[in-house]
Amino acid sequence: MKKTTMLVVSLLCVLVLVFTAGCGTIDAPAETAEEKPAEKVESAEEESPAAPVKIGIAMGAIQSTFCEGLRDGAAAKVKELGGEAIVVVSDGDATLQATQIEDLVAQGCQAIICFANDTDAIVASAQYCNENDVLFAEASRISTDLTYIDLALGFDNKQQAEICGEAILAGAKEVGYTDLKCIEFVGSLTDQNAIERQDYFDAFAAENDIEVVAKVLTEWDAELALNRFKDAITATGGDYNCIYSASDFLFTPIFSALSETDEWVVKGEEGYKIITGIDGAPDAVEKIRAGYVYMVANTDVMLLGAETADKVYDMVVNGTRYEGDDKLIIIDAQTITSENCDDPAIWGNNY
Amino acid sequence: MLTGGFGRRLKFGGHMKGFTVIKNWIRRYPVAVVAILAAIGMSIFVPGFATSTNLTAVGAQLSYIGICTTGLAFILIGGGNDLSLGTAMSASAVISGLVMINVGSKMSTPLGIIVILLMGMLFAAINGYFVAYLKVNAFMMTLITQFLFRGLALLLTNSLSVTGLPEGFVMIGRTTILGIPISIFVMLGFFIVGQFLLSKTTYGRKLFATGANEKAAKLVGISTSMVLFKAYLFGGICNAVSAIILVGKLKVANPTMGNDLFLDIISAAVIGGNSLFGGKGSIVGAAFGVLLFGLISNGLNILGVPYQDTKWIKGLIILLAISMDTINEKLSARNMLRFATTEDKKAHAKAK
Repeated sequence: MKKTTMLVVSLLCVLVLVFTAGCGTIDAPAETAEEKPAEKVESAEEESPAAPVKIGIAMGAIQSTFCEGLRDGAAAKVKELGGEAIVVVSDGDATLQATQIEDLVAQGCQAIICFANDTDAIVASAQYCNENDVLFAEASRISTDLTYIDLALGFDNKQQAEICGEAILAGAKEVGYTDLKCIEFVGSLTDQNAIERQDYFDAFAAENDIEVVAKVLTEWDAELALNRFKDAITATGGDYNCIYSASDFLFTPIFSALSETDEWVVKGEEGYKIITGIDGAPDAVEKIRAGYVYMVANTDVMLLGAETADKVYDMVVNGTRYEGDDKLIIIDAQTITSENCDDPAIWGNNY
Repeated sequence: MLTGGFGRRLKFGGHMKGFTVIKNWIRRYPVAVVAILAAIGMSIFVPGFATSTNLTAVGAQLSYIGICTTGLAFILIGGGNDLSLGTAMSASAVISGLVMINVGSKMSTPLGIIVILLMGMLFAAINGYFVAYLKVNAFMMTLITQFLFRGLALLLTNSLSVTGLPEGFVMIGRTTILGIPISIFVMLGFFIVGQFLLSKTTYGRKLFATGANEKAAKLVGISTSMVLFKAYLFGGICNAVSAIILVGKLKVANPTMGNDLFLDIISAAVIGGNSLFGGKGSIVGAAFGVLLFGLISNGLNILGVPYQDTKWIKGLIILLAISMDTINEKLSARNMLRFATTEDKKAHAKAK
């Protein structure tokens, strides 16, 4: 009886799997996949002429509007060009991301656009794609080793960090702060962007008499950021007057912590903190509009996603290739302040 | 003297036909049937599944999970548990990585292998000592060490991956033989060795006895603490070998690389018939559990099932597996009681 029960329940598992197979969301042909004579995945030219170009979008995480914008920008562009976008998310797990990329290659993707969890670990996946004649592009998070990377698009972290530093100086002049003490929010140290934004800001701060009184290591986790920010406030005795955040998705925990101490105030009020950040997400733009945040460095992430997808599609269909320094394309950042926050061109106003 | 039950078996079991052998094997490893059916079904219904590229990739993906599952199966059969598997894997890998890049000589690869094996065994020994000898609850102990090992890995690396590893070390996990990753052969080797240890050695029998009823096992003279401790050590070796393969896959020693693998590993073990209550299981079952769970994961990815749905689907499957295990455990207990009562009745009838 117990064995029968086990067998019945096991068969139920199979039924779940077959049911899921029938409800699969990919528009794939129903015929059996044939063994290919070579071990490498067949290129687009050898498939049926009517088959759309398949591009895999491997997202490291979707924990912020920035990530959502990147995903949506890339996926929409691929669809607009007539291709098929397959999106996978690894929730911050580098091992899972590597596995997902292998599965995307097995699904017949001709190219992968990757927002990496770990820009060092992802090189192995890029090499795997190379070995299987699949193009590999990075968006936003760019590895230091581009040997196996076919294309990389990102933002100028140095420019962004310095824009934020200059905004702090400008804000200090406006409100009359002379002794600048800054709490710095740092992202995940496996993210090359976070490392550069920290390093460049630290260098700017050192040259311009901005004292970094505390660093909040966030691992790109809002809850972690909130707890550690509160600890930093306690450690500094509340003696700080500006904040630099490597991403404005951390404005939510900043708002939470400052609200508790009645320090979430607009410019001109007592206790005002000069808050700057990077990205330009809708929430950040709203906070600028309301007067709480002084400036953010705008990184049009939807444009980044679309540009990456456009170039990758061109590489697949037309065989365009980038070599050497041409592989790395940097997009400039702009500033968003209270003066231009209503500009319709800002991605945060359109997302 | 033939009792009713034994006589009944003799009547039909005197001629063991092939069909009976197969039937018994299916009854013993129902997960094998499910796994084989799933593989056949996916080959037919899932485009891209039955290609050499995908099968090779799936095999390589399953290899480190399969090796870890072998180790965990030993621990579960002995009545223990180990939630720190994944984080111990990460910690072993980064410590070994740091040693290798600091040594930076021709001996760095062999040294790295020795270090990773030693670290794997050390972490396992810590768990094993507290659980087997000091009788700390296995769940709580390994939950604590999960945090300890995770913290250790992040502290030593400042949350960064250890890069610049020797090519020789990385290639261990990336070498192929006739196009098949060597890690698959290593996994099969662990399955064979593990099943042999469980079914053909005295240690295996002692392990089952310890997990089934520790008090009874002690009464018959089994050193249950040592038996369980050795199971943890074996699990540590399996973990360390998995770490070597995973480092080869990523080409870096990432401080969080194994942190989320525990659920996959324990799911495969339980699906394969290894009971969370101890005393029951096999490596053959675990192997098919790994295969089935891997097929499901791969199938969901290839079918393009949204990642949000893969979470609850996997959770549902794990729930089914654990429910099976719990139902099986309750039915076993009830049947044992019923059998004893029947035997008493028969013995009483014969005496009349």
